[in-house]
Parts: sequence; C-alpha cells; structure tokens
Amino acid sequence: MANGFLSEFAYLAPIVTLLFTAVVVLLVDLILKQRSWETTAFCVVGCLAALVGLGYVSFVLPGRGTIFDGALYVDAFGQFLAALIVCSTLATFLIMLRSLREEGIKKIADVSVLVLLASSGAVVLVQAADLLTLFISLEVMSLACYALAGSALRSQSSSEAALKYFLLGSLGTVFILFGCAFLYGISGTTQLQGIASQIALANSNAVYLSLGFILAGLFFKLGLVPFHYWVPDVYQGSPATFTVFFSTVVKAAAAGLAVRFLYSVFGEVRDLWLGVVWISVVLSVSIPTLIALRQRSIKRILAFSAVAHAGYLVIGLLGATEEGLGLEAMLYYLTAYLLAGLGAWSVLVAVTSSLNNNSEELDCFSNFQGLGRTQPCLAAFFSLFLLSLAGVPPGFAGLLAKVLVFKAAISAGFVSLAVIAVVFAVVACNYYLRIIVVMYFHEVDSKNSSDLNVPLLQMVLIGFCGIGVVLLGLFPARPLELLEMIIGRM
Amino acid sequence: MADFGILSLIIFTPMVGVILLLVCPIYWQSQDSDGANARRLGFCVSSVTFALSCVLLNDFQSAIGDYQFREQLAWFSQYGVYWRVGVDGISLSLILLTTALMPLIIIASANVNKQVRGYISCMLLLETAVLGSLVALDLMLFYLFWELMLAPLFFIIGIWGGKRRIYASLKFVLFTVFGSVLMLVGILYLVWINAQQSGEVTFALEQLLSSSRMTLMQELWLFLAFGVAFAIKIPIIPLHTWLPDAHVEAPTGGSVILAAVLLKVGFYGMVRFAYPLFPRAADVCGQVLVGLAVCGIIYAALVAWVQTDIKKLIAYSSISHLGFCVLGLVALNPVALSGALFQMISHGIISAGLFFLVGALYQRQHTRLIFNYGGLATTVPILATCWFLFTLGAIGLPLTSGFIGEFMVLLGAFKSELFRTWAVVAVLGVVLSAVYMLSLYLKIAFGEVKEFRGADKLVDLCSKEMVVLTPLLAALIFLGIYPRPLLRLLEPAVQSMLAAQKERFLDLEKYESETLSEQSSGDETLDPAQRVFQTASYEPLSQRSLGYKVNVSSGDLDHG
Repeated sequence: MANGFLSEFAYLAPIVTLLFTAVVVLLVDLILKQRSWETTAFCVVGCLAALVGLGYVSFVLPGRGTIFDGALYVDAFGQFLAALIVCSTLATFLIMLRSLREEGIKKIADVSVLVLLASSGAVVLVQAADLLTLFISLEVMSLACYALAGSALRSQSSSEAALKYFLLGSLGTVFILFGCAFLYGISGTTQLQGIASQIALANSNAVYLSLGFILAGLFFKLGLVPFHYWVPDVYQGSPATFTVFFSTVVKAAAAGLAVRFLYSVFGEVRDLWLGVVWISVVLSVSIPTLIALRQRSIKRILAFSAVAHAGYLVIGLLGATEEGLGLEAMLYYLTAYLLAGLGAWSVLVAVTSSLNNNSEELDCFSNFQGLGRTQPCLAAFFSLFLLSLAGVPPGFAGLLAKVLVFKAAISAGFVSLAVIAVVFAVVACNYYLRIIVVMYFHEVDSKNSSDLNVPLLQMVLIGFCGIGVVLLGLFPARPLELLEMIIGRM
Repeated sequence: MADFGILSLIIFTPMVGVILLLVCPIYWQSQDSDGANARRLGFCVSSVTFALSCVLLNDFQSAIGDYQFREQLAWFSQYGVYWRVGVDGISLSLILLTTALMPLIIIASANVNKQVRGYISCMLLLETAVLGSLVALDLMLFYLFWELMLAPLFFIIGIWGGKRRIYASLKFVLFTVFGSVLMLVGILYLVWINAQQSGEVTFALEQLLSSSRMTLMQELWLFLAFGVAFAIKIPIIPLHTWLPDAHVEAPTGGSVILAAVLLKVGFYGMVRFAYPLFPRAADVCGQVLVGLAVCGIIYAALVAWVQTDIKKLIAYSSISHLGFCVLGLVALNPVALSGALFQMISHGIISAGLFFLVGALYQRQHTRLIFNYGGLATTVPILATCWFLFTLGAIGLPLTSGFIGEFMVLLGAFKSELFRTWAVVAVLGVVLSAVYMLSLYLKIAFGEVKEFRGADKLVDLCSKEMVVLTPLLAALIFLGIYPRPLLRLLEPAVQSMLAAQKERFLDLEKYESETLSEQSSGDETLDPAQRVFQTASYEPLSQRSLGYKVNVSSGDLDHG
C-alpha cells in the first residue's frame, strides 16, 4: 500500500503550499533583509497557489473519506472552510503592507510567516478527523495568533492584547484538551467518527464532562458569552491588520471546529448541549450588543459585534435539523460575515493607518466625521458593510444570512430564540447606524486630512467585498445549492 | 404568465436611474456642480417610470379582481422563494400615485443644494423599494423590498434634513426595523407552519392563503407580528411617535414621499397580508384596532390643533386621516374598504400638496412656526389659494377627493353594527380636522402681514412650483367630482379580497373545530374543565364572525 500512502500526500497540496511559502519567506529574509514589498508579494502568490491546490484537491483528485489512517477528512465541508480561510489570509496580505508600516512593524517577513503558519493551522483544523491532528493544528493556529497579537512591539496595548489572548486562549485550548482526554477515555479511539459512533452508548457522566469542557473551549475560541472577555481587548489592542485575520480566519476555523464537535461528534446526544448553547447564544446576542452601544472606539464596536455575530452563527448549529437546513444557513452566514467583516475592517485599517498622529484613539468616531464628503467611495463601502452586518438592505447578504439562520431556528422549534435574536438585531442597528451617522450626517471635521489615499490592492479588496455583499444576497440560489451539496456530503 | 414583463420593468427603471447616477458623473465632474444634470436625469427616469405605469393602467382589466401581469421566476427556489409579482386594483392605484409623485418630487428638489446626486439616487432607490413591495406576491420578496425602503429614507432625513435630523432619522429607522424584524419572524413561522402541513416550503402569498392552517393562538401571534410592523408604518397610536419627528426634520421631498406613499405601504401591507392571512385574529382584534384608530383620529387631531410648527401640524393631521383608513379596513365591508383605499390615495394627494407648500414657505422664510406668518393671502395670493384648496381637501369638503374617502369609510363603518358607535365618534374627527386646518389657514393667510426677520423676500409661487402643484390640484378636484374611475379600479379587487378572506375565515374555523374535536375525542386524559374552557373560548368566536354577515351589496358604491 506504499503507493496508496504516497498518493495521499497529493491531498496535502494546499497545506504544504502554505507551509512551504512560510519556510521560503523565512529563508529568503535571511539573505535579502527587509524587502517588505517582495515578501508580501511572495506570500500573496503562495496563498493563490494554495487556492489552486485546494481547487485541485476538491475538483480533480478522487473523493475519499479520510486520509492518513483517519487523520484528516477530505470532505467538501472542510475544503469550503479551507477556501474561506485561505481567501481571508490572502486579504490580510493585501492590506498588510502599508498598515503595518504605520503600526511600526518593520519585520514584515516575521509576521508573514506567522500569518502563514496560523493559516495552515486553521486549514488543517477544519479538516482534522482525529483528536491529535485537531489539537495540534489548533495549537499551531493559536500560538501563531498570540504572537501576531503582540507583534507591535512598541505598543503597550498590543502587548496587553497578546498576553490576554495567550492566557485566555491557552485556557480555552486546555479545556478542549481535557475534553478530548475524556472523549478518548469514553471511546478508546482518537478518531472523531469512532467517537461519534460510541458516544450515545457511553457512560453519561463522562459524556457530560467531556461535553462541558469542549463546550467551554469552543465558546472561548468562538468568543461566545460567557467566555468572550478577551475579544474586545484583543481586537482593539492588536495591530488592526491582524484583527482582520483574527476576526475572519480564526472565526472560520472555530466555526468549523464547532460543527465538527457538536454536529459530528456530539450529534447523537444533541439534547445534551442544546440548552447550554441556547443560553450562550441568547447571552451572546444580547450582552455585547448592549455594551457596544456605549463604546466610543469603532474597533471595540466591531469587536463586540463580532461576539454577537458568533452568536447568530451558532443559531445555525442549533437549527441543524433535517428540514431546518441549519448548517447551510451557518455557512452562508459565515460567508456573508467574512465578506462584510473583511470589508469593514479593511476600511478601518485604511482610515486609521492614514492618520499620522500617535494618539491611541485612532479609531474614535471623530476620525470618521465627514468621511462621506472627503472619501465618498470609501464611506459608501463602509456603510454597505455596516448595513450588511446590521442586516439592512442594500447589505443583502447580511440580511439574507439572518433570514436563513432565523428560519433554521424556527424550523427547529426555537421560535423564542429567533424573537430574542431579532430584537437584539434591532438594538445592534443602533450602533452600526451611529457610525454611518458620523460619516454622513455630521459636518466635515477640518482636522481630518482629506489626503487619505488607499493602496490600489486594498481598494480592490474593499470593492470585491462590497460587490460580494450585494450579489451574494441578491443571487443566493447557486451559493445555497453549493452549500446544500457540501452539507449533504458530510 | 410572462416570465419577465412590464412590472419588473417598472420596478427596475428607477434602479437603472440610480446606476446611471453613480456612473455618469465620471463624464460630468466639472459642469455639474449644482446638480442640474442629476436632476434632469432623475426627472427623465421617473417620468419614464410614470409613463410605463400609465401603460400598465391602460392594459389593466379593471373588471377582474384577481392579480394581473403576473410574473414568476425562480430566485432561490430551494427555499421556496420566487420572484412573484402581480398587480390588482389596490396595488395599481398606489403604483400610479407613487410614480406620478416622483417626477414632481424631483422637480421640487430645486431647494436641495448639497449632494444633489445622492439625493436623487436615494429617491429613485426608494421608488424601486416602494414599487417592489407594492407588487410582491411572495412574502420574502415583500420583506426584502420593505426593508429596502429603510436605508434611502434614513439618508434622506439624515443628510438633507433639519436641525434634529440625526435623532429623527435614527428614531425612524429603529422603530421601523423593530416592526419589520418581528414581521420577519412572523413570515418564517408562517412558512414553517405551512411546510409542516403541506410538506412544501413556500413563501408564495396565494399558496399560503390557501393551504396554511393554524390555531387561533398561532394566528393571533402572527397577526401581532405582522400587525405591529404595519401599525408602526401607518402609524396607529401608540406607535406613531417617530412620525412627527421624521416629518418635521425631513426635507420637503422626504416628507412628501413619507406622507404620500410610505405610510400607505404600511396600510397596503395590512390589506394585502395581515388581514387576508389571519382573518380570525383580525376579527378578534377588530375592536382593539378600531379603538386605537378612532382614538388616533381624535387624539392626533387635538394634538395637531395646538401645534406651533406648520409641518408638525400636517404630520399629526396625517395620523388623524390614516385613522379613517384603518376604520374602513376594520369594518370590512366593500363600501368601507373601498373608502379606506380611496382615502389613502386622496390623502396621498392632499398631504403631498400641503408638504410641497410648507416646503415652499420654508424655503422663502426659513421658518415653519405659525406665528411668524400672517397675511399670506395678500402677499402671496397664489400660494394662499393653493393652500386653501388643499385645506378644503384635508377637511373633507364635498367636491374634493377628501370627502369621498371619509364619507365612504364612515358610511361603511356605520352600516356594520359592531362599529357603528366608533363611526359616530370618528365623525368628530372630521369636525376637528376642520377646526385645526381652518384655524391654521386663518392664522397664516389672513390678518396682519408679517415678514419674518432676516428672511428672503416673500415671493409668490414660481412656475416650477406651479408645475408641481397643478397636477395635484387637478387630481384633488377631479377625484372629488368624479371618483368613479378610481373606485372602478378598486372595487373588484376589494370584492375578491373580502370574498377570499371570508372563505379563509370559515376554513380556519373548520380546521379549529376539527382539531378541537380530535383533541377532545382522542385525548382522554384531558381535564374536563380544560375541555370546557377550550370550547368556551371557541364559541364566542363563531359569534364574532357575525361581523361578516353584514353584507353590503356592491351597488352601494354607486353613490358618487
């Protein structure tokens, strides 16, 4: 079977490409010092190559269940999430160059390597079929992210973010590890499929324990209440570019992890976790929304909104029944959120990195005052993204995502949850609209420089996200078909 | 059944205008600093839309009560959402009102002096949203268009509004969104109920009307979810508080479109969705609704009486007048409902005219306070005359369209025994409207001539403003003298709506009695007291349905 074993390596193409890019970047940086532009360009090419590799794996190679004796899934679900992750990584590189210079990060190669490592960890994580693979990839992703959060060496808030992220994140990982240990104890196997088949028969106390720990860990990683405390500080303190990364790549990976655990492994004992997740969702859509109303920093507002969106995302998981199409809704929500989130954070990066003052409050409202006049295009896109996050047309993707998620919840019988969630969606409108109000309804602030120039690639990215937000919502038929197929093959 | 027809064309023509406005400036840049090109383009596009809707009227067979010009295209069909549109007389009359007003609003946008392109774009986008929600026969489609109405008006109020525009625009959006998301849950719940019974997920209005069955309790909750959304928009007290703020702060065009069209879309939603889908709940809630409506008529009239701001006064008068629409709807007989729909169009014309006039005054004097005005009849006679004519319409004087609508509503409501008392009380509202409108006119048009300090010179209406007002005046008087064409448009649609609703009512009653008997026979463990309670709660319901038995023959419509 040596031949068969070797042929399995072909399925690793995207992961190997990412890692290879990382290694080459490191080596090249030893020889050619601090060529930031070239490094970034190379990373972008690496990401594109990884995308091509992913396409090769998904469309050309013959489909099979797992590879390497059940270490990795080769399924459409994992590949879809991997594609989202690689695309988000690509987006991170596109906005990285200029903004990092403004943040005072000189060693582009170092952080590029970290981004690539985290990204490859995330790609493995969403395809992991074995507790060991899962845990190792989770650690690869998380450790790289901790370092990224602290990469702005001179900034206190960045160091604080890194420490907070590291301490709380490790705690989350430890919870997952402990849960995994119980799972192994229950089933005697580390493979998710094997565990899933035995979970219903197992001793219920052990199941409770493992489920409890894993839920806590998942809530940490997803940033759900009551384990969300790190989110605002980390999102605000980290260099904005890497916040983009955390709020997209890490979120997609955590969502994939949640589906693998709750749907695949604990799917048989659904009733055990429904209640806890229900409560967590209700808290996640309500508390951060209320807190965000009082925030003065736009980064923090978006961070709290990220917590709320994680809540909405998980509603899809609650509604993952036959007729509810909850997982489809969840993936659609994730895609819509990634598009709008990427766009919104990119605009934020563009605006804050063009302000050359050294004050800590780069992202306060006054810096966006009158942006509708000075930068009509940028402001229009930012409004579009915010409206999509709020779920108001013309941000059609966000609206439809909410509709699908609520539909899933109602079909699964969670009518009250849907009502609570929509009420807080209205409250959330308030703070999204407040940003739009500042950009359009206030007079132009004279101290704002109108010479804000956005790098072409970043503008392309913003435009792409903007068009995506509208079109994904207006023509959802094909994407939904695709998602249905992906979930159908799980 | 055409795949893609004139309705889609009408909906998307303004949208094309928006795209043109976004693209064209690349060529204009330098020469369009005052936005004249944008206005011209907007006027052309909205005129084309109006012309298309006239074509629609021409081809429309008014004798048929069913939907015409249907289109059906798969949108995301695996979720049962289709592009389903169609018009009947009710929606057609509102489409005509909307498309006819839009060119006038754009002509009147001459006093908008910043970001004209954005203003016109928002207006055209709003037109698309309104037209879309008027013709949608698919609940999801309706919801999307309904939500699409929000953002443009938010920007219109927020960017081009008055001093407290930010407060007003946020209040407007939050109120409306609150209603509409509850409606969303309602829609999804309704579709789910239907999917459980028929096994098919569909958002089609007609299919839901024919196949969804539910218990009274479910119906009440759903009616509440839909009703609150529409009641906020209409607005019915106590959900009206956003309206005066939005009206006062909005620019003239925004006020006009808000009063003349958007409020009507709320009422249209009641007529098209809430009432037919949930007839029993509507019946149960009838007394509450009519109580709120009549209280609204009186309350808003009294509040209007004491206003010092002209625009606010007219905003409250809108609330008062729309109360009549609700009264006509709740009475649920052909005369009253036709009257309510007629009143809707008529109020659209009158409020548009009044808001245009207030806008003209404000543009000249930069004040809207009543005591800053006086003797307009001598200084600006044409303006004062127009104002007087619209005032007569608002009072509901015979020979104006305002009379026909209010008269029919009151007549219809008086004929149904359940609402007779309310109709009598509502008459008081007509009297009050005369009081506040005439006293307003008295104060501003007669008496000592006042010129507000520091303002531009008060000049009479210019030709552009006359172009805006003349069609409105003509419609006001034409419909007052000869209401027949509009009624002929509305009547078959009203008849078929009432018939369908009655049928569904009886159908749901039957379903309820079946499930109840199933429960009581099948479920032996049911506590006898509980069973009695359930039957007891069921009995009076069938008596309430008496409301339907007051049947007025369609011949009664011929009083005009």
